[in-house]
Amino acid sequence: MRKHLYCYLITFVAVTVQALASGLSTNEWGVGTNNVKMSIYLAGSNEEIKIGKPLKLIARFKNISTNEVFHLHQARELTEVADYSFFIDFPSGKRVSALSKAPIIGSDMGSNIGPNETFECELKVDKVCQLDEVGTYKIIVQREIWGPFEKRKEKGNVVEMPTFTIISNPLLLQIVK
Amino acid sequence: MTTWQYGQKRRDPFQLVFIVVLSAMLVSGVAFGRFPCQETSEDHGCVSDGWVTLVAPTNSPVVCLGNSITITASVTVANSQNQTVKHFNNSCPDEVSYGGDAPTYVVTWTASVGGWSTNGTGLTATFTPADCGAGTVSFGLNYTNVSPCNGTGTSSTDGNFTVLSLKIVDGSGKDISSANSNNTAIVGQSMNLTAQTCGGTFSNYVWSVDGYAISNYDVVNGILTTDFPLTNSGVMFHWVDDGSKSVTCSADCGGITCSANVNFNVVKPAAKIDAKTLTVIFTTLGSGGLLKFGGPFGQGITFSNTLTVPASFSGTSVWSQVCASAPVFTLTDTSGVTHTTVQNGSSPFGDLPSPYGIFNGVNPFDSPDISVDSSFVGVSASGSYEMFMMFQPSGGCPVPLRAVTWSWSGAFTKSSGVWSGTSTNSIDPPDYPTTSFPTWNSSVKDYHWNPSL
Repeated sequence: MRKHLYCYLITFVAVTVQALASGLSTNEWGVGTNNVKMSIYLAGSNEEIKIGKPLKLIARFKNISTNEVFHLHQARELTEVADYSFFIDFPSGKRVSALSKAPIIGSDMGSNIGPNETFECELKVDKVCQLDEVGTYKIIVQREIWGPFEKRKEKGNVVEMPTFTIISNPLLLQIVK
Repeated sequence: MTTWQYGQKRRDPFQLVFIVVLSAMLVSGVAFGRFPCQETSEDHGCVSDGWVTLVAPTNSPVVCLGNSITITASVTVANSQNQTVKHFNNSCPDEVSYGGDAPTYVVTWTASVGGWSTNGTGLTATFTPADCGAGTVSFGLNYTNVSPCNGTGTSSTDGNFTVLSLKIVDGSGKDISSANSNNTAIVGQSMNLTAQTCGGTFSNYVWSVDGYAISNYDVVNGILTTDFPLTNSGVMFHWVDDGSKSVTCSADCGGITCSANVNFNVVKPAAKIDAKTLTVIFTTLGSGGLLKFGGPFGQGITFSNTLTVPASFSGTSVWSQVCASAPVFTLTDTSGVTHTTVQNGSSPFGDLPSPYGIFNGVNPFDSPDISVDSSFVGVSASGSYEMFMMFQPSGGCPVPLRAVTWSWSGAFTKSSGVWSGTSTNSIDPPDYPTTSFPTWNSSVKDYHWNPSL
């Protein structure tokens, strides 16, 4: 009985470590807010990332409502990261926080997400900071969502639009030599 | 009235006539020596044959292909020597006389140059060669003496000429100047034409190109290079406008100027931009706000287009946007200070990067905006833009087809926590044809705030 328990325990630890080392399942979402959820995951395979190699992170949004439309503002000038806040825990314990910094003047090339729709875009995390340590990173991304459109208040050419912030799942990322 | 003297014997009138006639005959025969030798026969004989020889032409003409050439040879003629013997009666001696006749002759010639030749008769050869290089006219002569001589003979000589050629060939080396009515090109196509010469060393090339032609256009940096060399043995350019065009090249060789001409039918795609606009909205977002053309969820202006490329050509549309004058944005802070954007560079301003890359599907769009936070109580924006749709054929450079000029503006202030203001914008602005290129001196994004934020 104890042998079986050890086997189960070892198997559980092995699976957990493997999952942590290989990144994130794409089905993992952050906590939903106002019917919108966000996840971040590593594009391509779940293989380990070698240090210094390009890292392609995908942000995915899902509108789980059945009748609401939301908007993701996306600054044309810094499309990859400007509208996102990054919180990155390094293997050494260092934390890097990069808050969203969309330019004051720009051009919105954002997207609307309709009911039950999902939207994906690439996050070039390399533009936030260099992941130059070997080990396991934890990355969390946050961004502002506008909407739902249906709850806006129009007063002529002025519109009051609700906004809220959503947070992604924590992505554990293994960087190896 | 007849009178008679005494003792005179009256004569018979017939006797008197006889005596007069006889006397006249005697007098004339003695006086002219014809009597008593009378010619009884003649013999003709050939002493020596005559001959004819050709003398080479003295000119060696040099002409451009397509022009006629005349080369003339000459002859030297020696007459035959004939003998005529006249025989007389009454034992008169023979009379011998000498004379001569020019032989008759026929001249033929053959002219050849390169792979071309022709022939004719006569001492003057006139022909129009259809090939180039160093050519030869070979004259041949056959002569025949006139009876009583009957000798025959031949003679030959050569003349030289040179045919210069200047043809316009395309990038693949195909001669297009000889088929100068079936050449079709498309705007933006890289025209790479070369003068192909033959027959000598050419210099002093001069090209002329019809229509609006440019050297190149750099859509990334907005640089239009209009001039291209027209005095080399080749010419490279791009047509911007369509229609019937002519390209001519001339060059000198040994004092002779040859030229070639080629005609092109330059086509361009059928194109149209359909611009759809929304309105300028100020959106309050939490403690801040956004002044945006298109409102919080929309796209200010969307450009859909059609592009029909003529058969046998291919290419794509390329977009680029510029501002002739600087957009102006202001922010008024809670202290009442108004901050204004000032461009660092000079106009015109490019909406970079170029080519324009913001698309909704296949349609480019623009939604300029300015955001404010709670530290501002006023915001304004004003901008005017020109969006160009260009056509870039495969292997060519972009050339403008159509454009749309559009603008947006708005000014909003916050009073007692409530934003209000006015705004305006182009409404579905029409497109128009253009051959103007989007060029700029600086980026529209290269600005600073005055005073600084």
